[in-house]
Amino acid sequence: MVEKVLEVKSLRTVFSTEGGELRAVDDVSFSVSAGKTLGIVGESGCGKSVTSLSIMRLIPRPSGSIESGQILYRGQDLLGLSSEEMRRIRGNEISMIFQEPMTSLNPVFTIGYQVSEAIVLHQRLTLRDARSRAIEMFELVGIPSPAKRVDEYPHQLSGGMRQRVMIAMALACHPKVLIADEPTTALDVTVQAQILDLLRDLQQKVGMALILITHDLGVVAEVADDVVVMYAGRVVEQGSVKEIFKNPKMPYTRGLLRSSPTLTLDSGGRLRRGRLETIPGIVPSLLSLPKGCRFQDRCSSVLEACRGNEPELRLISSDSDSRHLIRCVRDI
Amino acid sequence: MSLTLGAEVILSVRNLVKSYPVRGGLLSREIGSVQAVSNVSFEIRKGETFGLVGESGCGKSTLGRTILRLTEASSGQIYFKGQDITALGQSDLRKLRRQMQMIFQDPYASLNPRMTVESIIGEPLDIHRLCRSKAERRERIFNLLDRCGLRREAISRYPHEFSGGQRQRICIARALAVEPEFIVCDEPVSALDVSIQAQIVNLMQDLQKDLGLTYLFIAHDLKVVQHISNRVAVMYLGKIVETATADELYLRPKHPYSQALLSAIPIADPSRKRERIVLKGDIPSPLRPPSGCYFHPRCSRSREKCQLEGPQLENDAASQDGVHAISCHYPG
Repeated sequence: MVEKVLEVKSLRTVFSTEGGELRAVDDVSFSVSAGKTLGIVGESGCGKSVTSLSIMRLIPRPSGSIESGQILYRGQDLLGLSSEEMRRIRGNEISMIFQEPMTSLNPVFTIGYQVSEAIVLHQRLTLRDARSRAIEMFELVGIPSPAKRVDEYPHQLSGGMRQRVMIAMALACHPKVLIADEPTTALDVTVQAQILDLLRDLQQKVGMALILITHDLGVVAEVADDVVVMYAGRVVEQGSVKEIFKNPKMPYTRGLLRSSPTLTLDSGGRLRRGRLETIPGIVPSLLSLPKGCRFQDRCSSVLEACRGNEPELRLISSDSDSRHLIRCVRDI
Repeated sequence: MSLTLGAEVILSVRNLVKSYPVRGGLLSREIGSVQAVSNVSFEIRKGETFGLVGESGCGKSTLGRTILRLTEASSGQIYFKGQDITALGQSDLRKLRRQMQMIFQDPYASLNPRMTVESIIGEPLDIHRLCRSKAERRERIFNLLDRCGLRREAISRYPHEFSGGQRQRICIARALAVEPEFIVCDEPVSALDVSIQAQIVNLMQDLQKDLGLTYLFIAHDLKVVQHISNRVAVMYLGKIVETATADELYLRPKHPYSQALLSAIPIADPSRKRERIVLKGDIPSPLRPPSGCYFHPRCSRSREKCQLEGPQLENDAASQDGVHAISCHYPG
């Protein structure tokens, strides 16, 4: 049995707004093991990023707070830690890469300094040792001539290189868990391929657990072992990548999969190019959720029961290493 | 897509160059130039969708804007329905804009937040004096809203009251107001969520069928471009490196850059394992483009000739439909 490095249990994160209390993450549970990758997918506003910020305990206060749940890192509940203790974990044991490499680097410091800073803070190395560790990290993430680049400023680097710097910074303290929030969304496809390959290589080398947050199902299919599909703050489907992409059961997951061009061939050997299937409408506001299933107004196979009580997340099949859960009343 | 091959040529671009001066030194004198679009030629036929793909900085957006004369070409010709439009004066240009319109990437930035939907869609009608009475103007706006899948009560609302997908529908309605024949679509779905992308792509295809529109579809997302386009051109550092029908390009890409680009698309099917070509390094700076073939420093097939001599875009003799052209010394 592989160790579950991180376990999130019934996490509920709320924000108070003028319109009332908003549950951005509502009863979300998942876990990730060492050396494995968990993909969290969903569209904007479904709660993916708030989930990751909750794990890092970076929810902006006082408007937001974690109302209930547990975040177990190697068995220890992060929510019970003092800010001081949390600071020792953040960036050291659990690291995060943000979407926008442009805005998450400080423009007035060299990239070498910014990476060293994290190392000095957590590992008690001297600035000089930290600098050579930074150069090592740059080498590891494939930045050419790292000894020279270490003294450059963020604006001197391309988007792909900046994202590598972010990864180097996140990995500098050899974290056990890496949370990557849309790490390749701002990048071109060929650069995306480079970064995804890099993440996979590094994961194999250092055996960390990776949580990959993305709206791109293609990226999840290529990189992740397990997947969590979120919709309006809820987990709506969960299971192994193999199972979910082969047998998506929740209508939202199916819709997501079908609404993107698949680039498959028809019987005549030409690209399939009919109309795309769409999910009608838009994600409901978290302040005015419908009673019952949150997806009901956009669902093509909605039943009377969908408008009653909200369906529970239930197990529909399981094998030795994964369990397939859906939040849907239908038996498909 | 043989049906479009017989159709008349609506737009023909010949040896188009767009260069920007580079200033430097004490007196900000011109010390060089950057070619954003470098000697590009292609034709678009009536009723077809011509896709233009490439990564950031390859010049695809500049090319689109130059065709509409939103930026002036440095040299070369643009023929729209047989007429060279590079030399048109302001009043002729205004008349031309009735036939050529544009849809931009960011539906948040391309709508004036202080204007109602009525004045946004009505403005082009007023500029071109297309309505004789207030009632007629309103009727036309209602029709455009219907056509683009918006409710009629949207007419008195402001852009911030709409979601991203709805705003892009407003942009499309505005572009259609003057009944153009040709629309340049610059990344029209890139800013939207997957399920909304599909809605907009379908809408654009429906409009094309009903109104006989011709599209120049610019995007970095190959999946969407392949899906919507009849023919596709791949750009790299200001040049077209390959052009073919969407099927041909997908099934038999010949240029090493197109091959890498296609192999890098993440596909939402874990059972489809593909050989991925991961390019080394970054796109070179257009300020100092490499010698010979611009792609040679990143190319696995590069030989001596590639460093010395830039290849021309030449028709592939082996292509089945005669429209496959490649700019490579060693295609394959």
